[in-house]
Amino acid sequence: MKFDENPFRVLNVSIYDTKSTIIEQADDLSFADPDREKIIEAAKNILLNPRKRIAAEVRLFVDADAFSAENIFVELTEIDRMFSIQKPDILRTRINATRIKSKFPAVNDTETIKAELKNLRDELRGMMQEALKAVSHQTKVDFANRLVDKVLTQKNFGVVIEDFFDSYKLEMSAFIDDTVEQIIALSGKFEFNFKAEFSQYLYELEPKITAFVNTRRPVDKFYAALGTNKFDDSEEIFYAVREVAIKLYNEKHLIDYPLTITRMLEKNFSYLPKVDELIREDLKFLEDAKKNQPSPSFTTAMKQLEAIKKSMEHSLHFEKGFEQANLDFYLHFFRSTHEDTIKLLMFRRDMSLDEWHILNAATAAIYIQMGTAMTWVHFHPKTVLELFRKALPYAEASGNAELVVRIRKDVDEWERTNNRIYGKSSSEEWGCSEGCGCVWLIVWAFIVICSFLH
Amino acid sequence: MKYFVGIDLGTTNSAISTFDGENVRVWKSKTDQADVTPSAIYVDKRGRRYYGRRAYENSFRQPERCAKLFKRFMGTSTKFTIDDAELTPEECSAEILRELFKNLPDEIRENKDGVGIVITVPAAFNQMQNAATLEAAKKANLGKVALMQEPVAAIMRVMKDNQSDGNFLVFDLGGGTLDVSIAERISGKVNFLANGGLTMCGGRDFDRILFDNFVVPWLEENFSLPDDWQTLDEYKLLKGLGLYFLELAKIELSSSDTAKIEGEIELEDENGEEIYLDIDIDRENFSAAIDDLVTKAIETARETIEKSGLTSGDITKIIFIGGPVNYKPIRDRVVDELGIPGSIEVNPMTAVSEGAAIFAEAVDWDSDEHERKSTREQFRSDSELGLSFRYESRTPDKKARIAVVLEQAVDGYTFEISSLDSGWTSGTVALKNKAIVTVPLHKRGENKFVVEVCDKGGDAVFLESDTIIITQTYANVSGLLAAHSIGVEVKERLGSDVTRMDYLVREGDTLPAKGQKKFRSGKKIRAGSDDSINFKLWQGEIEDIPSDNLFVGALKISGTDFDFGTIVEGAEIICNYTIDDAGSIKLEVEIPAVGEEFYGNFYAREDAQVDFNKDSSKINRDGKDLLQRVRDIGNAVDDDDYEKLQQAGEIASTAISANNSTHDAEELKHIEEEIQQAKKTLADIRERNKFSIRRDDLNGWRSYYKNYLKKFAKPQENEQVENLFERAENLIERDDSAFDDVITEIRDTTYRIVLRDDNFIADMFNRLIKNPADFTDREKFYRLSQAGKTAISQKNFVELRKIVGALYSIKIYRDDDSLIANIIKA
Repeated sequence: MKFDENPFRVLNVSIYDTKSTIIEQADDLSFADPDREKIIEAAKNILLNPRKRIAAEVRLFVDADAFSAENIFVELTEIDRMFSIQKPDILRTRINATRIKSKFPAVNDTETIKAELKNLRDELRGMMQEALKAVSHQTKVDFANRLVDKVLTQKNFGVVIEDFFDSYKLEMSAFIDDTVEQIIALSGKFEFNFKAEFSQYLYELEPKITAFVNTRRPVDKFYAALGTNKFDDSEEIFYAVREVAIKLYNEKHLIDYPLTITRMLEKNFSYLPKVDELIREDLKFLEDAKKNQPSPSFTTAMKQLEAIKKSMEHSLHFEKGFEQANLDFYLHFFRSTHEDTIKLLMFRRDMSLDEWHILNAATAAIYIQMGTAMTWVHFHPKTVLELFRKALPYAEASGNAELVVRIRKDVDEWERTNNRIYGKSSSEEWGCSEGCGCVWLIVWAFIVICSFLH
Repeated sequence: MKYFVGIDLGTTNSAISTFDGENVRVWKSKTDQADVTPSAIYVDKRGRRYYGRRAYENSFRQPERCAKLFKRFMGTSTKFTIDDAELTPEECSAEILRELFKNLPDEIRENKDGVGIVITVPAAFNQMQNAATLEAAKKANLGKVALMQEPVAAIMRVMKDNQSDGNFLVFDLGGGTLDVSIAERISGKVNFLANGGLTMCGGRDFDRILFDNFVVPWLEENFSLPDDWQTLDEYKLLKGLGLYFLELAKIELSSSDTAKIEGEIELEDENGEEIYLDIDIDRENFSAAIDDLVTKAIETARETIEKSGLTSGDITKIIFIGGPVNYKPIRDRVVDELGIPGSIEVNPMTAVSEGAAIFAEAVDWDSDEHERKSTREQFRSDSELGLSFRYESRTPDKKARIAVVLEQAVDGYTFEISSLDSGWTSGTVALKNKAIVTVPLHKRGENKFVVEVCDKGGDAVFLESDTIIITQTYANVSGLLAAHSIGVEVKERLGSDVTRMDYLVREGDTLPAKGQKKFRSGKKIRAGSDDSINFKLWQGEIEDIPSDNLFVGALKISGTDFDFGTIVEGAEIICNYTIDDAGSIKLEVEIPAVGEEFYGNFYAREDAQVDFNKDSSKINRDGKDLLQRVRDIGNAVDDDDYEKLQQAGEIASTAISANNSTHDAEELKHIEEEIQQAKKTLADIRERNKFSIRRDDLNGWRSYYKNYLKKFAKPQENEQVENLFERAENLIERDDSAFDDVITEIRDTTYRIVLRDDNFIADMFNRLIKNPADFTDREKFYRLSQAGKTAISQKNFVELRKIVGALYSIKIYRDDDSLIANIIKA
């Protein structure tokens, strides 16, 4: 039986009419319109059968005729309320009161009435699904979002509202499924070429996430209010996108991109009870990391020092036979090019004090490395001393007292060496003496640089 | 259609009748010259076939050359062996139908196109039994055949002689089944109000009880017989003749207070002593022996009255039909207990076949579905005037209305209606736009009238058709009732694992029925993939556990069934169905997303067709399953239901131990029916005690979680489980499956938690390796079993988890698992 097929309406008889009136009316209607004979006969059979008649009577008392696909969205909460207040025993009393007049046997139990209320609920659900199918995607989404906020604010809803969200979920499942697939595919593709495609990824991802969440949020919020944990689709998307952010941070050492993604996740998914805290933790972690991120000037400066260091590693050789090559490098590359670069770096001031210290320490290390290399060149102790002396102000600017002490010690030593050389001529004395701190300094300085770069 | 034939294809006796629109005739069997033909086949040593009385009597002496009681096994694959030939129940029934048809005169038999045959089936027959009966009719090559429920036929026969209004209860106790039906007659129009019935409750079952109560104890007391003599071939004659002599005594008791079960068996016992029977019985001990079954039958009648919404006081009389009601004490007991007067106004042995013949007249044999004829007709008779006639084409009244209707009003026209049978005339009636004339019907059957229309000048207007035929019937039956509910197994909502019945037709719905029901796909199926949507159809009233009902069939729509597109999750599935007067269902399924319609044979012939002569394993499995479920709810039911639960447990125990060496096919079939009934009882108990069972279930989960699982749960999981407990608590008293859904969610969540317990994994492993037959790769199974045992001894649970995973990957799942219902209620 459907809402618009209530036998009382089909036959145009009242709930108080007796069997003979019903039969007569059915006969007359069939005679007047033989094409409708089957419908009329069916209606008559229901009304004449004391058991089956209950279905028609319940519908009349519940005012089921008021339910229609056209007005279901407008009156959903009212229908829900109306449905919630129906009590089988009260309905039975009302039915039996009419049966005294219609001379039908009284209804003895409430089982059939309960079953009929269940049927009504099923039909309402069917009607909701038809109504949802008939409207646009956006209308459905807007309605569901409004409804969920309304019913959760009022904190009072019945099974019809529950059925609405089940029906809505069912109606949207193809869209949800499709969007989940697209987002997962997009996130998977992005892994392979992250830098070039990040903007494109975000450009494509954001609207999809928004569309997904707008569609899915009402259901998730409703289920969360019910206390169940059925957020599989939303969580699948959330974790897939979060995974991209994690990879960008862990594997590519980026912060801004993961932060952008995490903020997008926060905007869209923080309504989910399970992931809300996770998002907050992620954000805190990334924001902290961002705070500790080196300044661009420092990063650039360190990269330039790194380039100088690589050039020195490539060109300088600490073994016999390379004395002339080391000297050529010093004269034609280091002094003419690298020293200029270093001087320019020292003009940069848009960095933190810590960064400034590290930068100076690294510069000192470069001069020490160059000076040490020059100890392998005959007859140039003055150059060695000059380079160590140049390292000293950088060491002092690094704020590292230990470094300063060690360099001063070397400078003193080489001053003494220079004094001796002007009086003696012994090549064996030109190299660094055993225990000289030059090598240690180089190692120490490079550790500083490397640890920073990583 | 010239001839209307009704056949009562009974368990023990069959009959055939014809109806000519006015009179009914029962055709006697040519060989026995009796109104009824025993439904038995006998093949002699020379291969000659005999039917009826001779076959029936020989069945006791030479059971190996006979087949009888095959109606009980319709829709199963139980075979009847006659000599060396094996016959299906359908083949046996086809032979009886052919034999019955021979009773008809040549002019009917030779005019197959002019004959419409209605074969009756018990209202309690299921889809497979109906299909098997139609199959038998097809094999018999009778012509146009329709099925009809036996109580409907009985009522048709009763209405022929009884023209007064009232509510009637038909108590049809046949050879094999009991059908109870309540119908209301108002002004010749019959409306069915309720049906009920019991299978395995008929004369044959009385015989078995009496045999077990009188004959078996007497024989075992007086002769030396082995314990299992009833199943031994050498004592088949003793059993056969015992039943035969018992039947003779039973007939004697119909007219006398005492009788003797007596006769020579021509067989010796273990001591070489000649066996004979000489047992005195009287009505009192006879009635006492069948008391339980009669009580069951009366209880069924009471339930049917309740279903009709009436009380005993509302019912005018009980009409008794069937062989066993010839025994007066049964009739008296039914009348006394129900408090309704009884009636034997129709011949209980032939009423059904007579009524079937009367019903055959009401069938539109030209329609594909053999629907009932319409009681209203209209036809257009003149295109120029737009003249048409509407009239009551079939009515039990002695008068009928004819309306002459014009599309546009005219002036000066007249018409006259005359009877071609009696000379009655309406006289000249003015015709403007519509006029109604009431015409008298002078006889039963067809009454012909002719209409003459004259224009302004009094000239006759040419009418393309001017004859109206109105049939005066004995009764117009409307509101035939479905005897069973038929539904589709569905999930109530997306994401739910709980399935329920979603009914296409409910018991008591009006037949024939035609409708459309929509579902949604619970799975995404791409064209060409192996995934499938499984549409499972069940018959029965057990709503919360579909598999407890009778499996009617399944339609599996897989990705390979369509060439293009995808059936997305949530896609619409449209099911169109028709159910004919006999309750047989036809379905087609349409899926607009892929633009395809799917048809299938929904009757699960293979699944349902157990050979009760050979296979008791299904009964054993069902028994185990039933017993487990009885135990599950034992603590939560109230005292009133506890006794019923115990009875269900006893049935389960019987089923578990039943086998083909201790039980014959009929007994096994009986047990199967009892299990089915016990499942229904269990469902009713579950429904009545729903809230306490749920409370018990929830408490069990709470305690299991608190005492055992909680220590393995992470804080977030703990919060999740507590939320679910709270939600379940709120849903205990709600009348849908939401509670079960939450329990399923609790089960899933806690399962993830319990997997952290090493002991649980060890138990799981030990359970798995108990049944090597459950695994595909036996060699791998033994290797894994050994490795698992080593892992347990070394307490290496990381390894053990891997092994359990590997075992599951080679585990065999029951075929049925691939047919999990995955459509969603829309």
